Parts: sequence; C-alpha cells; structure tokens
Amino acid sequence: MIPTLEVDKVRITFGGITAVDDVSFDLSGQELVALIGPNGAGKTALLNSISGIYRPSSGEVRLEGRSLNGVPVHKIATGGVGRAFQHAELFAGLTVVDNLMVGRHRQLKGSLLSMAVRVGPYLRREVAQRAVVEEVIDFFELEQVRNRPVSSLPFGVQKLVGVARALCMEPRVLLLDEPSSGLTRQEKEDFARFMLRIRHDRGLPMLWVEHDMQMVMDLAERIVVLDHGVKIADGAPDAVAENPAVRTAYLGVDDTEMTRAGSPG
Amino acid sequence: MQSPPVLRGRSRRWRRSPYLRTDYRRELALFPYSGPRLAVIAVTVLLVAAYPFLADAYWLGVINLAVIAAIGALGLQIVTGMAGQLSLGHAAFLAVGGFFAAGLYLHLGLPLWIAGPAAMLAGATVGAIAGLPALRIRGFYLGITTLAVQYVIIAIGLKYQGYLQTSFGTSGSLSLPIPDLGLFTLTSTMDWYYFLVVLTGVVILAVTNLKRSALGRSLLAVRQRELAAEALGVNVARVKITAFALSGALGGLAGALSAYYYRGVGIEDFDLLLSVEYLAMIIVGGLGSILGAVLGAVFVIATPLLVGQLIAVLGLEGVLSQHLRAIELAVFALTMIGFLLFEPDGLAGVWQRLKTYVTRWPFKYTAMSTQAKR
Repeated sequence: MIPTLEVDKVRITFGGITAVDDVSFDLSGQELVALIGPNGAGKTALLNSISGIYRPSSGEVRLEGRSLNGVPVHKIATGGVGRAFQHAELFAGLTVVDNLMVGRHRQLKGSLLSMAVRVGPYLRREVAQRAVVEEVIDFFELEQVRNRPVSSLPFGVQKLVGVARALCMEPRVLLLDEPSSGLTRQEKEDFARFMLRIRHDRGLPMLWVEHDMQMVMDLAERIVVLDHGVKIADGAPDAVAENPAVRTAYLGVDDTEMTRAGSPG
Repeated sequence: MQSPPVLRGRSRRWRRSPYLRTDYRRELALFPYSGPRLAVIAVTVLLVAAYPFLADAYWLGVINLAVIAAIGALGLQIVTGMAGQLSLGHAAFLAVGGFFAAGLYLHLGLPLWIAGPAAMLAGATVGAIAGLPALRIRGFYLGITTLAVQYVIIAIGLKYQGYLQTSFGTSGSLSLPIPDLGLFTLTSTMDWYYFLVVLTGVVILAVTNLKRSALGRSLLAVRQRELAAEALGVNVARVKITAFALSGALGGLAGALSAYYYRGVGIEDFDLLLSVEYLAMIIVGGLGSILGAVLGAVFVIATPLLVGQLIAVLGLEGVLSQHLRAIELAVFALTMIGFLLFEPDGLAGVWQRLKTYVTRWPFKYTAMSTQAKR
C-alpha cells in the first residue's frame, strides 16, 4: 500500500544553513503523528516544504505516490494537503463563514459573468458549498460566531477556525502547526477532543507539530523527533520517551537541566 | 437544503419572522429581511429618479461626473481596496478607455454602445499587463510600476495625438458626436443622468455580487494573508491579474463614458493628479467598500465645486478668484488627511456607524458586525 504522505530524504538549506537534513518518514491510514523537537529543530520548515512554500534542495515529498516537487503551492493544497497555521492566519475582515468558504474555493469555479450575475449554476454551487461549510461549523461548534468577523474572536476560537478552514478543503492529509500554542488548558482539552473527532469522523492522517509534551504523549500514535534538522527518533510515544537521544535533545546531558523542555511534561 | 417539515408550508411568507431563515439560498440573499429593506430601496429609487427635478442643471452635471467617476473608483476599489494591490496609475485605464472609444469612432465610425464594451476589453487587457509585476513585487514598489504604466500610456497617447495632427490635420484632442446607443441618443444632461444612473446601478450590483462570490473572498484573502490563501488552494497569481483586469475594465468604461460626456478627449487630462484623485475617492469612501467607492467619488468630485459655490455665496469671488484652485486643492488635501487620521473606514464607516446607531437605538453598544460588512 502506498502511504498517504511520504517525506523522502528531504533536505532544506537556507544559504549555508541546513534547516532540515535528510529527513524521511511517512503517514498513512488515519495516523496521528506528532512532530516534535526543540525550537529551531526544523519542524515548521519541514511543514512548509510539504506545503510547497519552501522547496527541498534535495529529496522529495510524495502525496499518494505523486511527487510534489515543483508543484505550485495552491495545486498542492487542492491536491489534498490541508494546512492549519501556527498563528491561525485567518483572513481578517471576513466572517467565520467566509473564511471557511475560502476553503471551498476549489468547488466554486465559475466565470466572472456567472459570479457577477449570480443566478443559475453558480448560485446553486454557492448554496451547496455553504451547506458543506455549515456541517464543518456544526462539527467545530462554531454556530454562535459564524457571522462574526474573525478578528473579533478570542485567539483560541481563531485557531479552531484555522483548523476548520483547512478541513473544509476535504484534504487527504492534515498538517497542524502548533495548534495548541497560546491556548489555555481548557481550550487545549477542547482542542484535543476535536483532534480525536477529526480522526474518528474523517479518518485522515494528521501531522501535528506540538510543544505540549503531555498532549503529545496522550494523543499521538507515533512521534517523530527532530533535532537540529536531523530525525533522531520515530516511534510509539513510550519508546520515544525512553530514547536516550531524545532525552539528551530535550533535557540536555544533565537531567537536572529541565528548563529547555519549555512546556510542562 | 430541505427545510424541516414543521416549518414547511405552515405559515405564509409575510407572516414568517424575517430572522427565521429555513434555507441557505435565503441566508445568502442580498437582502434577507424583506419588509423594511424594500421600503428603503423604494425611497432610494424614488429619490434618484426625482433628483433631476429637484436640482438645477449645474448640480445635475456634477452628479453625472460623480457617477462616471464612481464606475472608475469601483475599478480601483477592486484592485487596491479589496485585493490590496496598490495601483497609482488608474488614470492610465481611463485614458485607454477614452482613447479607444474616440479612436473607434474616428477611424471606424463605431457608436458608444459598441465602443463602451470595446473600451472595457481594452482596459482589461492593459490592466492585466499592468498587473504582471504584482506577481513578483508588493506594496509601494508595485505602486511605482503602475505609475510607470501610466506614463507609458501618456507617451503613447501623445504619439497618437501627434499622428492625428499630421495626417488628419485635427487639433490635438479628439472630438466625439452626441452618443448613439442604438435605441436612443443622449442629448440632454437629463438623458445622461438616467443612462448613467442605470448603468452605475448595474455595475454596483455586479461588483457587489462579485465581492460576495468566490472571487471576492479570494481578493480579500489575498489582501490579508497571501500565503494562507495560497495554502487554501487560491491561485494568487490569477486572482491578482483578474483584479487588475477588472480594474482596467471599469476604468476603461469610465474613460469611454467621460470621453463621450465631454464630447472629446485629450491625453493631457490624464495626469498623475487624476490617479491620485481616484485613490482619494476610495480612501475617503472607505477601502474595500463598494458603497465607499460611490460616496468617495461623489465627495471628491463635488467638494471643490461646493467650495467654489460657497465662495460665490459669501461674495468673496473678487478677493479670492485668483486663488480658487489653490483653495480647492487645500480643502481636498485637508479632508484627505482628516480621513486618514480620524476615519480610516471612510464615509462607508460613518454610514455604517450611523445605521448601527439608528437600528440599535436606544441602546448604545457598538455591534461586532460593523467591521464584517465592509
């Protein structure tokens, strides 16, 4: 069976600096894979190379067996890579519904004339896609805020809208970049529930960059650990937690030096 | 979506609460609440229709110019207000439209009803070309390249006028006949008024529909977060070029209309100041707002004339007549600065606040939704 997403010996360099060095792993089925590592380990750079925002200087990313090398960012997105950003990156000035409707962009093709007149097939498409978006709104329990401009929402809700927007694309794989950073404990727990529900209802693999080790240990089925751009571990949470290389990367050589872990856990 | 059986067919439409919407088609309607909105629309239409009988010929002419400018301003609003791509050379598209319409008449004898759409196509083509740099550069640098486009167009216009002078022996500028629209001609100022008002109404409706469709959402998405838009499958390059093309098309239409309205066109009318005035319209009106583009156009066109009238009323013509232009420009500049400092949402923002105040009265909280409707 071909994995949904394959990262194959990807190397990303900026000038003389190697941000990601020969990293390989893959995702398939409905795996929830956490991508962890200290700050500057290359996690976001790796996500960006999957989205096509950065181009790997060598190696390639494959989606369901097809190489994404040289494919434009928007084609990668419509091809099935959904992405939620670290700072939500919502479209301020648009409402929650309109933000989600951007995620249905691919299904709303139409000529300028049909959009300007807004009758017939285009209007039917708009109505049908609105219904799909409403399902996602129900899923994320955003009914109360659906017509609010996103900039007026609390940060926790904004991040939820960011994930909802990515899910509106009906992606084949979902990339989550620190979805829980900046959230309160309560919001994190709500978010964890949504992640499990996404996996249960949509059954799609997720690659999840996360700093909260407690969340990672509780939820992830597999953990990929990066340090200085190199993959140092890949496996079940328990095995990774016991891995001496991981302990060194996170905790330093001396076990008393706990501060580098950053988050509780 | 089917409405739940309980709601279906139980009450007649006029008895149903306007807030209870049972399908998405109704939710997406331009005016979801029928009753009071219909009254507002009826009053507006009546006022617009009655205006020629209420105002004198001078102010009718002023509104005609403002309405033509509103079409052009809507074009700039799409590219700069909605898509966030700074365009400093909007006058170039007006020049293209004006000269294209005039040229089609001069060389081929084609009337306005053919020249108008042709001018839009020409404007869209030039717009799409002018938008190419937007694929690589942003902000102020992009503004400078659009400025360069305007000077290229001015240079071409000058060459063309020179060619006409040598080969046709005409004076520098081109003259046009009374416009023939196939079914009727636009002879008087009042004919023009009704024609322009209906045409602008159509343009406003079309732009409103575009704004609330997939294209409009992606324009605003590109303005706000280009990268996020791209990661959601929006073809940013195509959206930008489309925005510039639409801007050029509406600019071209406004140019063709004003050429016919003045019964002539000359390249010296399309200077940098005109581009700045169009930018002023959308800033004073409110960036990204359709209502704002129209209000801004009326404001920018009418204010200097109002100042002139005011001076005349006050009997200061004798003293100030030499400085009239300077005073007009000073008032223009001060209102611009005032809007930038105190009312970044422009006239559309003022209108929105006023509306909220009236509908919420006697409660005084500001609704969150005021920002959303921009």
